[in-house]
This record gives sequence, C-alpha cells and structure tokens, in this order.
Amino acid sequence: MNLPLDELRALSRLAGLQLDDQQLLGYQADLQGILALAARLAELPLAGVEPCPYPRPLTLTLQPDRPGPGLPREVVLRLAPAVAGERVRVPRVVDGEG
Amino acid sequence: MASARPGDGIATLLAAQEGGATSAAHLVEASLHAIAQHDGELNSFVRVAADAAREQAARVDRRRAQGEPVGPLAGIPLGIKDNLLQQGLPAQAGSRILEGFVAPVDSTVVARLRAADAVLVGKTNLDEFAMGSGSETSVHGPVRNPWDHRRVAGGSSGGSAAAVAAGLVTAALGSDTGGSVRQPAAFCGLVGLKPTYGRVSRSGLIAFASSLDQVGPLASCVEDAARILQVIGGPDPADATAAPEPLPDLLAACRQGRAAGLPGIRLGVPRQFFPPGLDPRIADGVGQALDALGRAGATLVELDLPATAHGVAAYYLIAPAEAAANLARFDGVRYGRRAAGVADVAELYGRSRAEGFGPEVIRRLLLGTFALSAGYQERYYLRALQTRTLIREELQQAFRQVDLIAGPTTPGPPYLLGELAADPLAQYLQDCFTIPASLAGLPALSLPCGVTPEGLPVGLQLLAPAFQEQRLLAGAAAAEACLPPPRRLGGPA
Repeated sequence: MNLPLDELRALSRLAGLQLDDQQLLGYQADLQGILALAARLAELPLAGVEPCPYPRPLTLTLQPDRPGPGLPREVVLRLAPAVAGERVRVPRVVDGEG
Repeated sequence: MASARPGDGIATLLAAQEGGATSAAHLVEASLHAIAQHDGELNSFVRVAADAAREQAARVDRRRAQGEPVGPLAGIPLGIKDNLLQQGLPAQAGSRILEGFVAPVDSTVVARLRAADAVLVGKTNLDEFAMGSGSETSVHGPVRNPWDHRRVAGGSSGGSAAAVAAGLVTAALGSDTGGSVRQPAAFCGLVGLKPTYGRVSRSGLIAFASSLDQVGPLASCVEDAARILQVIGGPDPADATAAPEPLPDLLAACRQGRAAGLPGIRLGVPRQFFPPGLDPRIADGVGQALDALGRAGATLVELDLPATAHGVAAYYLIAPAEAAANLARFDGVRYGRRAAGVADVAELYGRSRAEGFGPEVIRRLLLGTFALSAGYQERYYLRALQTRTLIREELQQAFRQVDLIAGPTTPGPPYLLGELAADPLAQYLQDCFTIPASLAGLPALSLPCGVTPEGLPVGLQLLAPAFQEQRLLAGAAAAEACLPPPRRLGGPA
C-alpha cells in the first residue's frame, strides 16, 4: 500500500492533527509497512463472514430515570485551559464574529 | 513480623495485620521507603500520594483496633496505572496532552479498591495512552525492568509491573488492550491477568480501544491476582459494556485448583504459538514448562488455529480505528493542554493535538483514520472485524476439545531499552500471542515459568473461555504449584 504525501495530508486533516510535510513523511514508511501486513488479511476466506465489532453481543439496558449529581461547575472550570467568568473560553469558532 | 514487606503477598500481609505483627501504617511506610530508595532508577511511579495513602492506612489500623470489620484488601499497598482516574490526583496517561488534568471522580475500579480498604500508594507509569510494548513512550520517561535495568519492563502497564516486581507495592492495576497486562507481567516475572471483556468496569479508564480495553491486576502470585479481581470485577451501572454476570468465588477456585492439581486438565497448545522464528530461549522455557505440566498430569493437545496468525494485522487496524474515535475528545478545549496563540478553533484542535500527542499515538491516529476513511474502510477495517470473527470462532471451537489453551506470552525475553524504537512493526509483533485473546474477549493470564539462560523471566500464557475466570485461575494455581517458583527481587528492607 502506497501512501503518497497528498493522502497523508488528507489523513492528518481528518485526524485533527496539524502536521507539516516533513513530519508526515516521517510516518510514511512505517504506515506503509503496517498496511502491507494488514493487506494480507485478504488471503483469508472472509466471504460471508460477519464482522465482529465487540467480542460479545451488547444490549442496551434501560436504567431508572433518576436525577443524579453532575460535575460541580467550579471543578469543570478548574480543569479548563482558559476561562472567562463562569464559561470555558475558546477561540473564535465562526468567521466574522468578534 | 515488624519486617513485613509489601512484596510478601496479600494472604501473608492480611494475616500479619490480623495477628498484630504488622500494621497498615507500617506497610505503607515500607512501601513509601522502597519507592524513595529504588524508584529513582526504575521510574515506575509518576506520582506518589504519600499523605492520602498514610491516611487510608491509619483509617484501616483504627478500625482494626476498634474491632470493626475491614475490607478484603485492608492495608495492602497497591499501585494504580495512570490511565485510571483516582479522584484528586492528576491522571495523565503518559501524555503531554493531559498536562494539568486532575481526576474529578474515581474510576469504578479505584472506588472498589478503596471500599475494600486497600491503600493506594500512587500512580504508575505507562506507554502514552497505553499504546506500546515497552513503556518507553511516556512523557515521564521510560520504565526500567527491575531484573535488568538496561531492559524494558514491558508495556503498556510497565510501571505497574516494575513496581510489583521490585517489591515497592504488593500488587497493581494495569489495563490490557492487546496484551498490556500480560506482556509486562511476563517481562517482570509476575502474574498478569486480563479478565473477560466485560468482567471489569471501564468507567474511569481513559479509553484507548473500547471493544478491547480491560482492567486487570499484576501480582506476585495467582491467588493475589484472584483476590484483586474479586474486588474490582462485576456488574457496574456506570458502564454499559460491563457484563451482568456475577463473579464466582475466585479465591475458592484457586484453592480448589491447587488441591486438585492438573490430572484431568486438557491443555491445548496451538502450533501457531510456536512459529519458526520464535526466540529459542522462549521456546525452550515454555516447552520445558509444558513438559512439567504434562508430567504433573495435564493432557497436552496440539491445536491448529490458523486465523490467530493474522491477529496482529487485525488488531492494528481495529485498535487504532477505535483510538482515532476515542482520542478525538482531546482537543484543548475543556481540559488538558492547549496550544498557545491560535487564531481559530480549527487551529486550536490541530495544534493542541499535534503538540500534545507523541509520535506513537500520532502514528496510530493516522493509521486508524486511514482504516475508517471512505474507500478503505471495507478493505481494511471491515476485513479486520471479519478476521476477528474467525479468531473468536476458532478459539470457541478449540474449547470444545480442551479446558485451557497454553503457550508463550511473548515471542522473546525483555528487549533492551531503545532496541525497537525505530521499528514500530517489530514492536507490534511483540503482541502476537496476547492479541488473539484480546480480539476474542477471552480471559487470559501470564504466569512466570522460568528464566532464560541469562536469567530473564519467561511467561507462560493460559487462556480460558469467556467468563470462565474460575477455570483459568484454578488451572493457573495448579500450574503455579508445578513450576519453579520465580526469583523474588529485593524490595524494601
């Protein structure tokens, strides 16, 4: 499996990682080697085999709808990297707004 | 018995406290002293909670003195892997991106250990986000193997393993996604138990791969591992993947297993667990151990499990894919590290993550994102999930013929620090024997079974059917009694 630089750029964007080309090229050979190993799964008789996302079937269970304590506001604010008053501060999200 | 040491084992330490020969206060001081003396070199702890541990120990001693009942782990000093939340302590999972994060709640397993009156001495070092086989990728630096300081302690629960092996604590919790409890246990001459998927709550475990992660104990004997699983296991309303099956009496299972011995036990030995390239020191060590178990009455049955040979390939698509989803939450917004001087929120995400994650985590995030991306998902991720079905069915089929499956835990003895740093694929292949049980969600355990000619520990892995921990522990206790006792390293004086 060949992973050219433009594909690595797209992957880093999808993964939410701001990496420059030099950094991306540092991962290229490793990723290609791992994907070459992964490609060997095609040798297995997989036609018609059900995928197994969890090792045992999971069923959603309903729990009583009871109010319970959440995290106190001061704890959440203490964990935040930046706050403004009683809110978590983040950079501008939408262009054109102050 | 005032010289009781954390490494003496749970039964001995409980009896010594009950008999008044030692106290929880003495044990916690012995543990803290040992950490101060030995851990500068080992780097097994990232944080020691001395004051809180002393308070916990004093509470236990006070309750004993007043004749009040105490829990099943009363006064036992334990370590907790730093990807498990312990309220009030930083939980960094070995990553720069979680700098400054202080756990606002206890994980379920920590809460259960507290309720059992265990003394939680501190948080142990690990590979970043539990991704690794050598505990070399932590932001806190590498862990050293107490058996040979030039070598890795295994990973990702290497800090927990090194701390127990050096006698700094009696036992420790780790987490096992593809072998991260069993492999460091093998590398450090310990028992490491990965329970059935769903046996132990994941609530408060910093998620790596949600369909694989399981919390498990590292201990110096099978019975200690059973005692800890007995406390931490069982249903939990806080985790929908925690199974409703109640835990059987695991300590009784160990004792019955030891009394009954191995006659009548059918041990399956897959030929895929002894591939041509297997390190001869492991092949010899595990081969001799299996011979000893055979002489003690076990019937050895050769198995052919061809799909398990593809476990590594399937795992290194599934686990990174799940990690790519789970680690999306680390974005510099609500907690952890935030990149400075960013213009907008997209740059905040991209730079906080690129600066906060180390190279191994980034490699796996890229791999997982690839496996899930349009055009490749069917060829890679879907095939990996189908391969997982084949492996699970093969193992289920095998358990119609045998009671337990046995083989090496690792393909080689502990390697030198830095030896595999430039070759991620070689590191991934370290997990080749532990991954099948992880993919199938089965309980599995590594047991010390001897040493290599240069004196490095060798691990024997045992697997059991899902939710058959009692069978696994009974067989392991019986096997433990037939194998040479592992050398105990010096702990606190």
